[in-house]
Amino acid sequence: MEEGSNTRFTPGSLENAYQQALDKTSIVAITDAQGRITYVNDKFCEISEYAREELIGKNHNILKSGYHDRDFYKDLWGTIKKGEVWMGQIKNKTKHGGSYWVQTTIVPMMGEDNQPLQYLSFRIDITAQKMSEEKLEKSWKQLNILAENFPNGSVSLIDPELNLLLTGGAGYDAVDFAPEDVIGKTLDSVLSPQTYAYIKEHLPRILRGETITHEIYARNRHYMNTYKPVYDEGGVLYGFVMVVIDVSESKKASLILKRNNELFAIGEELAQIGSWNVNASTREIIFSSNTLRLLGQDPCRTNRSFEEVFQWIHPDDRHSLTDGFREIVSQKILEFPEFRVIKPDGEERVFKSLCKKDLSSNDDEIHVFGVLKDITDRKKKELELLESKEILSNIADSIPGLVMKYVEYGKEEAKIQYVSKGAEMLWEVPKEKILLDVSIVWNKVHQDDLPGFLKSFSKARSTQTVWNCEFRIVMDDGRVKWVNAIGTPKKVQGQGVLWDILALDVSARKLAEENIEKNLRLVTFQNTQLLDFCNIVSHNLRSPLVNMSMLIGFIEESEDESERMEYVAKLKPVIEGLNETFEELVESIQIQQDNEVKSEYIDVEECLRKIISGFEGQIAHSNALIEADFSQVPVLYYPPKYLSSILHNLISNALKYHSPNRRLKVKIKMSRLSHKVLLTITDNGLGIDLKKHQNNLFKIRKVFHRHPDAKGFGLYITKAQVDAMKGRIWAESIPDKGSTFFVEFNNQ
Amino acid sequence: MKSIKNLLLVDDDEIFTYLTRKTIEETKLVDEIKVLGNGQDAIDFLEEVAKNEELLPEVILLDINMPILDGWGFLEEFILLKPHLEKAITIYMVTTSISPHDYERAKSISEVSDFVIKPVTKSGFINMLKNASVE
Repeated sequence: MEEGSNTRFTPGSLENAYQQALDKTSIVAITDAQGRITYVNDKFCEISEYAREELIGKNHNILKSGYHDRDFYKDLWGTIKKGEVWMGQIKNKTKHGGSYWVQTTIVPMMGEDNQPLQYLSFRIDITAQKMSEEKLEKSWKQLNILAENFPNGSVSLIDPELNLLLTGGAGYDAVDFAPEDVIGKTLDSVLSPQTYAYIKEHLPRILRGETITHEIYARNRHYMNTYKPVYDEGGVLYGFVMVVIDVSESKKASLILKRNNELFAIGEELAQIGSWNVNASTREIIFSSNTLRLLGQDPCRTNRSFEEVFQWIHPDDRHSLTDGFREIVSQKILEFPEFRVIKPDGEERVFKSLCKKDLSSNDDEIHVFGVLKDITDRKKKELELLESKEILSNIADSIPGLVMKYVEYGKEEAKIQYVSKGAEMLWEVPKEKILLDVSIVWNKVHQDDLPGFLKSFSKARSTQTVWNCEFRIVMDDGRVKWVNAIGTPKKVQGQGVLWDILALDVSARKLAEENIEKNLRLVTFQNTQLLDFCNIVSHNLRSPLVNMSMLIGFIEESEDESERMEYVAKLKPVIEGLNETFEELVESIQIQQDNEVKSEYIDVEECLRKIISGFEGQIAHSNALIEADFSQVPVLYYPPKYLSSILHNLISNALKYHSPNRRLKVKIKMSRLSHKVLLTITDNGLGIDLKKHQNNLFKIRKVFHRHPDAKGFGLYITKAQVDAMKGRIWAESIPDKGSTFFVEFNNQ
Repeated sequence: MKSIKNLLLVDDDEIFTYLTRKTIEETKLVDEIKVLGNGQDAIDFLEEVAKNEELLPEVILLDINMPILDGWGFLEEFILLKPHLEKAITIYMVTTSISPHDYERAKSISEVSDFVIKPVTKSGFINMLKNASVE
């Protein structure tokens, strides 16, 4: 421009001035119709790096860079040959192999034949502009490559009007359109409605410069989207970048992890256990929330310092707990001693903790994982069980009898698990001895009761039913106790039979029962006697009275004196009969009431001899044979009056009721049966039909034979005497064969 | 009133049978009175005349307390004999017994029409015989 400033404009040289101006601003060249260079200005030489002389006369294609194709030149030449102006951008080659871009205008100068004579070309250097364009294009290409290869999602560049400028990524594999299809389109045609809505909503924030990240669920996948504003070099907002990452897999994994953690927490809650985890080096304990709940602490604050946790522990247990932890760290034990925790509300609970040292931990960083259980209730139950066991044992000991629990192994072996204190009193054996050998208990059972005892015991064992048995036990000094035992057998797999046995002293009850039985017998006996008495009154006393009253009635009504005398005469035997019966009754009542009657030792032989002598006449008359055998019992302890009466009556009967068809034989014998003596008097006389007369045999005024002397008193009085001495009398008889009378004497 | 042809009195008490016979005779309701001293004799007699309607009694007055076979024993045998008898027989127990046991026992035996306690007056016999003839 220095040169220009020196230029003076003169009228008439306008043409010249244009040329000068052109020369200064443009690269100018003139070629002939064949393209040979005829003129170049300085700028031409400068840019092409050729000297003018090197260019003049040369064809213009010396500068051809090879960048443009044939069509390009064809178009150029076609245009200018027709005489039209061609404008375009051409890349040329410098002398030294460089290149430059020029904005070119070629003006053909036509001759009169309308053929071009020469061509004028004006060029402006646009190399710099062209170079930056190329650079930009390359950048876009690289960006596209980057976008296309974005894995696991997509990346996009978006302008503030939400047009997609650039996009790509593996995420497009999942959709039915390609990145090329959507570039230039607005986001609503590409994104899911909810994503688009989200962006619309948050766009102002993005454009203000915020980076926003959010998660969305679309097309059955989880995505994490990030929007970040971008600025150009000058700091002007250009748009924003959207990065979409498919997080479905990691989401799934984290969901599973979360679920597992939840399940673990539920498990802890259900099991009422807690877990913890210690980092010995950081002196920190991480608790599960359930652990904190069990400890009565805030379940949300999971990380606690040693010092804080230490305060929760009962002061008396702190020492043993820290000792325990030290040993766990040195891997000596895996279990803490039980310890108490005082909850914030003051409640004291007992805990037990098991733990394991993480073997992967090194000495610098020791990790211990453990579980924790509240055992307060269990401890309490254990204590209660212990107490109730003690109570039961106290109760059992206070029972005045034997309470025993023992196991039978096989046939011979047995082991006592428990025996009460009361056993000593009943069995009169020290408890310790019983514990050593159960046979001490059963060996005391009375010999007579043993068969029944063993039978019922083994039956209960085999049928697994309750055993109940009453038996006697014999003490060392010979005293006898009655025992009632109840036992429950229970088969225990692999152990044998478990017996629970309770045995009580029932001697007093037995005695009472015996008394009752005795009294019952007495009452029954007396009742029978009363009934007999009623019968006697009804029949034996009333009949003479009835007769008397009837006779008196007849006497009163009779008008005939002789008839009256006849009735009076009949009164006499009636009154005599009544008197006789009355005397007999008195006699029998005397026997029943006679407490004074005294037993004596009687020479039986002598007694019999006296009686027989009384019957001499009858014996001689019937030619009876009487045999007596008192060899077993020569002496009997009995009231003499009764014995002679009994013998007299029975022998008298035998003589009275002898058979006319055979010689009478009477056998009299006394035999001894331990403490009793049995008298038998057997005859071969008429006999009695006992089927008919069994019940009346010993009743007063009952006769069974048509014998003039039969009165029905002998057997009655005999029975009264036998009964009075607590003995028994009975008979066996076959009609026309004979009878045997039995008399049993007690206390001999 | 229809008279009774045969009446059997079973009792071992001679005074009673003597007086009873006299009383019944005075009522003139019975043609023939037979007295037997115990149950066994009575059974033997009934067996003997079982097919003889003329001799079979219409009424038996039965004592309880008798030797050899008492009234109860007689009834046991009578029950066995009854199907073989040509005639229905009305049995009255006539006894000195005031024992409720005897009364209950007699009531339980359907063959016994009534239980009469001695002494029996003339009018008592008349009622008894009237009832018997009605039956």
